[in-house]
Amino acid sequence: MSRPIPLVALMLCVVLSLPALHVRAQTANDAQAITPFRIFAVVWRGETEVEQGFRDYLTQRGIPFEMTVRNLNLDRGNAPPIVEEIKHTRPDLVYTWGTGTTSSIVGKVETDTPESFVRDIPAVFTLVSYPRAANIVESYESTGRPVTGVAFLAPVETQLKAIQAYRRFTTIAVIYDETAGNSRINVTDLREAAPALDIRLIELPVPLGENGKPDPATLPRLVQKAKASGAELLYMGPDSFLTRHAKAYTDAAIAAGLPTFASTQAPLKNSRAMFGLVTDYHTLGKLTALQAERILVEGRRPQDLPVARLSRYKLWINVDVMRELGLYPPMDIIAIADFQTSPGG
Amino acid sequence: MSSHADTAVSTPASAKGGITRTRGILGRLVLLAVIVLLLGQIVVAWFAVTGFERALEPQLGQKAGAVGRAVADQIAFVVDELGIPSDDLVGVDPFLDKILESNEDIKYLLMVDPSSKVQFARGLPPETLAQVLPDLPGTDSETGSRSEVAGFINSVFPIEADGRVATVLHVGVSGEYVRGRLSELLYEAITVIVVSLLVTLEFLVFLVSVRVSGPLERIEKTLTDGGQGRFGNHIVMRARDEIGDLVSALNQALRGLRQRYEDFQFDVREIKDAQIDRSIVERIQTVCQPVEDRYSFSGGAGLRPRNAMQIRVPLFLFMFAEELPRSFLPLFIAGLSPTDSAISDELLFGLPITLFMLAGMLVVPLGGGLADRFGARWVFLAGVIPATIGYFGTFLAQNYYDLVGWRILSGIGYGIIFIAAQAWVADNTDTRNRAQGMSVFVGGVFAATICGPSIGGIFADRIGFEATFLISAGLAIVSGLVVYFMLDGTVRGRRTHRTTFGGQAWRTLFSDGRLLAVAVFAAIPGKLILAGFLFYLVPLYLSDLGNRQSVIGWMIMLYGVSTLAFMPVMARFADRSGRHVAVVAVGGLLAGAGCLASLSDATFGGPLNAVVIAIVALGIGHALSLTSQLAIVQEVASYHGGLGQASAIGAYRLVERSGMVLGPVVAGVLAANFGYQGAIVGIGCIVLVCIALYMLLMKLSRRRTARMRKRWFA
Repeated sequence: MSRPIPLVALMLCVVLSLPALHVRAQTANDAQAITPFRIFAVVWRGETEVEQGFRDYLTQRGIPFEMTVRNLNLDRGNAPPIVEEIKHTRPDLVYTWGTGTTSSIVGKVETDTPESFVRDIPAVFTLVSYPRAANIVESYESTGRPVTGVAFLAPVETQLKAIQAYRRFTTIAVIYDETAGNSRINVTDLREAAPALDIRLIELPVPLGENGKPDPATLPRLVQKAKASGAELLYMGPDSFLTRHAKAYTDAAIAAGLPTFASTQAPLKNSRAMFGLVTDYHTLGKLTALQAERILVEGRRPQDLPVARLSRYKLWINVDVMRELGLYPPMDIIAIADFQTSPGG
Repeated sequence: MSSHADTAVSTPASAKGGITRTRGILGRLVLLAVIVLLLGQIVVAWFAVTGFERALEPQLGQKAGAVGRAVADQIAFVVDELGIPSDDLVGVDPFLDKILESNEDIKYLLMVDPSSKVQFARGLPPETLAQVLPDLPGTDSETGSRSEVAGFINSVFPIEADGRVATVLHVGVSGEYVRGRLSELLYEAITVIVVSLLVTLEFLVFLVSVRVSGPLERIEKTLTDGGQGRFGNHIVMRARDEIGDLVSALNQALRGLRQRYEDFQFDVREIKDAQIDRSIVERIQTVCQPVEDRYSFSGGAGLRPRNAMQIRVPLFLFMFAEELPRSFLPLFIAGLSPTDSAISDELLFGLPITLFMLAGMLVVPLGGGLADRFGARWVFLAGVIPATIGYFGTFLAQNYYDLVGWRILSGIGYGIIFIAAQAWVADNTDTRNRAQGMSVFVGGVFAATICGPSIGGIFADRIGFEATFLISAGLAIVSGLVVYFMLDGTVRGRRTHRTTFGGQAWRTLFSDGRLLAVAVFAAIPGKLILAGFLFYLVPLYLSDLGNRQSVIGWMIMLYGVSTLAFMPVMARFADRSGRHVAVVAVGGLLAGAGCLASLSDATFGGPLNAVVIAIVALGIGHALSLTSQLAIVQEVASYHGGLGQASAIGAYRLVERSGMVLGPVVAGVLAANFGYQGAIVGIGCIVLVCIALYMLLMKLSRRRTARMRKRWFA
């Protein structure tokens, strides 16, 4: 009768010691990679939630790393000394935030001056709207050089479908800066996707001022023009110029009784765009860290890693604008949307 | 219902002259038991059903409450926090529809504004909506409060925006759902009442006949013999109950009498031996001789209570076990059937049933031979073993081939037990009461046909198909235990049970047109429709129509009920009129025609009703034809002499059983080609054609038989 008890006790011991063994195994693994990975991050306008997500993911996965962060401070001119520093310190991985930063640190696919860029250290980019169009990668499948990253825009078709799920808008106007590559690519994509969804697209490039740059003073007039041509919605792409003047632009839109859809987060946060389909920065950072893990831990070559893309996006709705315009979303959209109020309002 | 069972049960009890007088006690006992049980059961069932109603209604209300609160919260968020006016809500209809879709018991969702204007309404046709609207509670109702509105249970959820009621959400649950569940429960309660009554009656009659009427009949015989001066008997009985005490007192008294007589004779011998004068010896002899002539104190027998009834409870229990899976057996088989078989699914589903019947049929000669050598009791016990293992194996079966094997084993046990029970009845009856003894047998089988499928269906719904086989195994074991402990083991078979299937039996069967007509064109189709339609098609078809197992069990029970209900009446009618040939034809036509009801479901108010009609028609048809078939066979076979008769009946039984073997195969082939409904109609047609041939053959051979009869009695 007493025989089973020691057996049970033994089994209990084994079961109880399993977690401890596990911890041991973990530590053994860690010991192999005791030197933390050195990551050199270059950002455009200071640290954002993307870097937070990036760090969180690596920490959660137990990957030891040291991260150096340099800020371009909205100016590409600050890039050369940082490139020099990277070449000198030779980190394990370079991290770049945004189209501008990426192209000024790792350069484009083809360049006449390879010496002014980091070309031989693995790099991941993030928050690049159109990496292929911006000539940062050869294709989404393979970058053709030790660079990979994450595309952050929802595909244009997905954006248009989100717009139509909100309401059956059929005439959409896009006001854009035709001097910016991103904007031009964006409009081209829109033009291609619109007919399949029965959308009539009105393209309104912002007229250039005397300095050859788009003139913000023309924005209210353009909104009026869009309204007059039957537009029901203004579309706002990944356009730095518009993002800078988003407040005035969206105010003009509301005055004209037009809602604005934004494909990036900034206009929703800082202006009065009514709604948008955007990427969550924190999630984006995690996805970027996943690419980093594949390179650092799994030892894979960046050129073998396709550019990653999020499969889920956030639908942001500005309640105040929605109420002001009286354009209410349907119940099923309400159930999945994130609501927020206007900044300061 | 119960009174018919009563009739069927008590008829055999009156078989023996001596028992007729105890019928008073038995009848009163049964009547009393029925009344008391029925009252008790009805009260309990009433409590259960009303309790369920009381429990279910709030539960439904709770569900409506939970869903309503969730929906109301979402709407409140929209109208209050997002500040969207309830009139301007977009996409509410698809939103509400989705909720109705995923909550079948919720019948409508309405949003009504404080001025009673309907803002959104989903789930109701306009005319019903118009009935509901006037009775809806107002905006001042408490959140989640329920009330009855035009047959619906309505829950109210006022939704506020900025501290004022903006709209009121109404959630409606159908009262029909409750009523539907209630009627299902009621069916089940009735089933349980009927079955428990039958089981009680079986045991009551069993106990009374084994422990009371059997011994009483022997006591009566002993006393009658005593009245005629025969005091040599004694009664052999083990039981130590009141009757047992009476028996031992009687035996004691008889022993005392014998002892006294022996003492008396001893004294007489002594006195005689002491005499020298021969004349005195002769005078003593003259005086004593009448005493010896009138009274006998030796040469009597040990009388054992004999009663065919004794086998009925074990037989009933075993048949109960076999009938339990009746309502789902083909479905269970279907679940295990290989999908990549070369033969059609439908045939595959029926095959194990066919093989079971075939195994049961083939062991008949073996069982008869065993009964001759070892007695019915041991053969019964021997049959329980393979049957029980078979059930247990079926419980564990992992695939189709396992299942087939275990079912064949069960079929072997089934066949052996069938023969053992018949042998028991034959051993315990004589030619005078053989027929009524056999009705003991038939009654036990039909009582099980009523109880098994219905209870089995309820079990299957609750504990699953496999576990029900475990209950079957348990019941089979209990039947074996009853035989082992309650049946007198010392009785050996006295007659031969081995049915000789020699050439003579078959010659007799096939040489006589009338016998052939009954066997091939009445008996075979009769069993074919039973196995093909009732055992195979009904479970598959009704399940296909979306019925629960308990409902299917109930439907199959209807067959037993209608047969048992009509059998005594019909048998009496057939006997009195003597028109057995016509009665068989009418019964067959009825059974076949019933299946044609499935041709036009709509006429009878749905496919289920058509099946009910077919089942009841089959039950009444069999009630008509079964006894008359046997009567014809016995009558016709009697022209062929004693041995010829016995073997002809054996051969007839064997031929009849081949219908059971054929049934699932024929039904499977028909179902594969024409679907279940087509197969039902097809089987009905087959039966009708057979009966037509039967009538034709009967007519043709009547003249011949008349000639033969003339020759026989000339």
